[in-house]
Amino acid sequence: MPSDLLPAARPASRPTAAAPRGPTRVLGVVRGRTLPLGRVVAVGGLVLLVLYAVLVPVLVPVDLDHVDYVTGPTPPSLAHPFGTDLAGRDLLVRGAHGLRVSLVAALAGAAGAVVLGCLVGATCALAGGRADRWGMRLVDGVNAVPHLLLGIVVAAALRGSLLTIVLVVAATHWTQTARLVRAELLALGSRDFYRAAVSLGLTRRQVLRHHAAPRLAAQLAVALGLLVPHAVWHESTLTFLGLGLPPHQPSLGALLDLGQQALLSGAWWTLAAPAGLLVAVTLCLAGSLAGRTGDRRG
Amino acid sequence: MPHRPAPSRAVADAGPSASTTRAVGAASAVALAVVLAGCSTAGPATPARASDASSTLALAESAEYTTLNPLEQPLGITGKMYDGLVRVGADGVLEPGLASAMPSPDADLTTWRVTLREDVTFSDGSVFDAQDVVAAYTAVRDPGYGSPLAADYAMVESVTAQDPTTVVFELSYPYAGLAARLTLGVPAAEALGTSVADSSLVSQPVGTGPYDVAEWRRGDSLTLEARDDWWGGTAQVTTIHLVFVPDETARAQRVRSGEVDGAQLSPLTAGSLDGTGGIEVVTNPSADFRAISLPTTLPFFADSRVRVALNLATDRDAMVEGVLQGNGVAVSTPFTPAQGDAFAPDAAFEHDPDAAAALLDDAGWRPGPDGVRAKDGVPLAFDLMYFADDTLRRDVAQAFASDMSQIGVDVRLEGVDRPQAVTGMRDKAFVLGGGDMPYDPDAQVYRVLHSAFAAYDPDDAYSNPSMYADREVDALLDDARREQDTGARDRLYRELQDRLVADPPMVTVFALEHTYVARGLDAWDGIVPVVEPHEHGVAWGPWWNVQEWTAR
Amino acid sequence: MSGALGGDLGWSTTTRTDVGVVVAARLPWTLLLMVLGLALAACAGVVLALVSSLRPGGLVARVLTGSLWVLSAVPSFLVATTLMAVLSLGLGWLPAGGLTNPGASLTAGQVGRHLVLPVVAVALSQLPWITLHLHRATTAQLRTTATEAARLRGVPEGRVLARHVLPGAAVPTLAIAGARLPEVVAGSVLVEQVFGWPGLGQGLVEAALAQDFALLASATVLLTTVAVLGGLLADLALVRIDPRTDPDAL
Repeated sequence: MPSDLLPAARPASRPTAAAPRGPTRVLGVVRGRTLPLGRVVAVGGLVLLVLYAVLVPVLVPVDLDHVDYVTGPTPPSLAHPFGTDLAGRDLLVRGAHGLRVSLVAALAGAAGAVVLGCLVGATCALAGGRADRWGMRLVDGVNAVPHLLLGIVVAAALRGSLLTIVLVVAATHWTQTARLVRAELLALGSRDFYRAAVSLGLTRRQVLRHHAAPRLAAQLAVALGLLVPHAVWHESTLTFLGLGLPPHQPSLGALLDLGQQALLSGAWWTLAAPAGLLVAVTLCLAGSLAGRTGDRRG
Repeated sequence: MPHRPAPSRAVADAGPSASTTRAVGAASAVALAVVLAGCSTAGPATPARASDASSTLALAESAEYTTLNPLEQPLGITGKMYDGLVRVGADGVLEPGLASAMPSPDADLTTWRVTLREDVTFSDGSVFDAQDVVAAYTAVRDPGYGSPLAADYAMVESVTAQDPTTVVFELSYPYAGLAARLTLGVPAAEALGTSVADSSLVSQPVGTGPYDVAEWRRGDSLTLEARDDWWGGTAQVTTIHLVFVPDETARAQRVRSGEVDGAQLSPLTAGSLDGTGGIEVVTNPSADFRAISLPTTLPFFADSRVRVALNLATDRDAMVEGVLQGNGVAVSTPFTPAQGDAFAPDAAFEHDPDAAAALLDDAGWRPGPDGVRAKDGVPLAFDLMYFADDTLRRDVAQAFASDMSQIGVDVRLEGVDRPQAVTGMRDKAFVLGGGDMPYDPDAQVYRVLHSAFAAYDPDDAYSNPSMYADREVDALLDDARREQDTGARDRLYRELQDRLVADPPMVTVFALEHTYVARGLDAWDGIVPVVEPHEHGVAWGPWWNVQEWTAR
Repeated sequence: MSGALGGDLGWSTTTRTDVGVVVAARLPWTLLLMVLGLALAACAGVVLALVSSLRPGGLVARVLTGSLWVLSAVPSFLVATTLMAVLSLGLGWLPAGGLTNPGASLTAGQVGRHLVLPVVAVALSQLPWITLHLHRATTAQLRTTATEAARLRGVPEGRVLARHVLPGAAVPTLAIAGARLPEVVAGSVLVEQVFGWPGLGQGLVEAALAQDFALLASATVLLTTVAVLGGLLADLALVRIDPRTDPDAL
């Protein structure tokens, strides 16, 4: 899976990764912070991809509903930089639509996972006692099941729509966030300043709002970002298997499936375009967030 | 940072770690050896088959069979293990099978007499006689047995064996097309069991057919062996291997790589293999049509002008050209050329989007600001369901939606599975497939068009999904099924089609030719075309009569 | 529940047989695929990690790291499809799927030939993670005083590697292999689907598509158990190999 190479995507007890690098190439120094070349390239690529996904569908007025099976697939050319697919649709535009759908699904799923994780983690930490124990057992239980299997089970029950993808990603990835939130809140409770604040008369809620929330927010944002490549992978895999988004809707998984079908007729570009987009978006996301751990102290 | 064993070790401390390394190394070596041995002994990638390779056929089927019981699965692979009283012959003409001659009806078509062939044995050695026929036709009609074909035999009131070689069918109403229904495979009466759920026929066929099951490797393949005691002689193709490959691309790849000799593929995929590596594309006509149902529960479809307009706006020829790569014929009603003289080629819609737009304007559906037509605040927009795993239906749905958007009708696509299709059928359009039994016009169209099936029934959602009710159509259908004279019958069906063009129940787009890729056919004589039913797989194609092939 | 423990796992609506029968027939093929795939990935990972750590920062190491990063972003079904397209369709060296050639008997030779591409696909999808982690371990090993001392004594490089570096790499390899089992299970599900390998993963997907919940449930539970048990076994073996390993940290 893509961002397994990233640190906080794994539970802390497993060996953490740090991609071995030689001397880091640096693009420059801005306001006293070094800018590694790799990170800049990744962020730049990510920005370009997001712009592509958002702007091309809006700016290029191609009617994707119009199919032309008689023309069929044509190789990349000036008129169609990515070529056309089996139904005669321009792949540059369809790729943008697909990337957009996949990113939206992934973001929604990641957000769902973070929200669910927050709820469970906060409940565990704040309620304590038996709720905490059962909560952690739930986390361990869900963690033990391989993500794809859990995803397939959920998708089997809920069948092929955007909501399915969102729920699948939320159901399989909430555990890291839950652990994170719980650890953060428990650590907070043991800090001296917390006891001081309580003795000064502040309620627990006020302390949470003023001290825990800002720190948590930063870490949750990173966790969200780390989850998005996972979510994109899940969407493409489930749609490819036939359990995810419907095949007439452009998404990276559907485009990959169509591309694989077209391989036999030699239309390699129908597979290369979505594959390239998937790999690019995964690498850029991973590269932008590399080196950041979800448990960095603020 | 979790505690890890300290990296430095004393030089002499080679104890457990070295032995583990050796163990791991040994295990890997063994695994590698197994794999390499496999590579070397099996030789090149061309299929390594028995020395008499000419009498073995390997075909890739698109799905594993759920059952081999002919009372559940008519006309498909069960046709290799079972015979019916009547069988399908070349070009789809019915001919006697286990019957010694075609069944003869009395004057009012309510009593049919069948004389049976003699000296026929089942694959378990027992003798075939009229009792087996009676048992089979009783079980298929018995609701307790649970056969999905029961409704097709509703007209049969009783089946009796007059003597060991004569069976008499009594029908509750005159029915001219009974011969097509007598294609039911007949198993040995003792093997029927009490219901489809517990019958041993699911996996252990006992039939009179040319082949018997040699091995069924679940999830992988089914192997058939020719029987020596088939009444039609011993098939020269002695072994047939059927490999299950659900993914169409994988199926095509196995044919291309030479592992299998044939498969059924969609036209686009089949076309891409044509001519490579000795592969040829074979097509068979069928009455397998595709249509878009137009449920009359939706307000706009209650008006026949709207339905006619949608038919006029559909570019059938482009669909046949593009989606089917030319392997099909455009039709405007559920009747297809496979119905012979009962088919009226002039009862067809032209592709005329302007006339369609004019009709919609007349009916009061005017284009709104967003381009979608509306009337009294109701937009002309509806959902169209298609089976998500069926690439052909997906493509038809997309092409239809594209044509509709040209005249301001908004079609929203929805990929569904079978349960979702059934529940949605009442108020959503659906890409329907038909032509289960093309060998008689009544079997082809009655359940699609007759108002008796108009009411929505979740147990029978695919019959008349448009909920269409037209008195004239009903009358013509009922008259035709009672008409003894073939010429008069055909005239009635042609009149019916004219009526269907004036008041169409759905948008029928085309009848498919089923496309297959095959290799090595020129080593054999006896390969002839046939009209295929809706079900398609390697039980049909050029191999539908493989038991009659002779080596060239 | 008690029925399940007693062996009655329910009735599969798609295959019309007991779920237990289906599962018992398919599970061994999945296990075979997973074990061989992981073993191949581990062996290749050790070799690649050694090669890249001999000269960290050199061209070979950087090319390797870069390619492994790209490979890690490619979903395993895409890897499998590409392998099939190139090695089976393009070059015709290996079969395009299935357990054996049609109708051939189940011999080690037949199954072995048909195993090659699926095993390579599974191994390739696990390779990046394993290699990059092993790289750290082998780099550290190469810099230990014991290794330096051996080199100074004039011990040939091959023996240095075999007796000082590799044993140290065995421990993290096992740890990582155990940690990767859930992903290997997921990877083998996809590879089975692409190659038509009749294992439990393919059974799981088909049960999901046909909503055969009895089979789906059993397949999921079994595959999860395999992943968990495998991880446990790896942890146990680790503790046995090196008693200094802190089991709580695993």
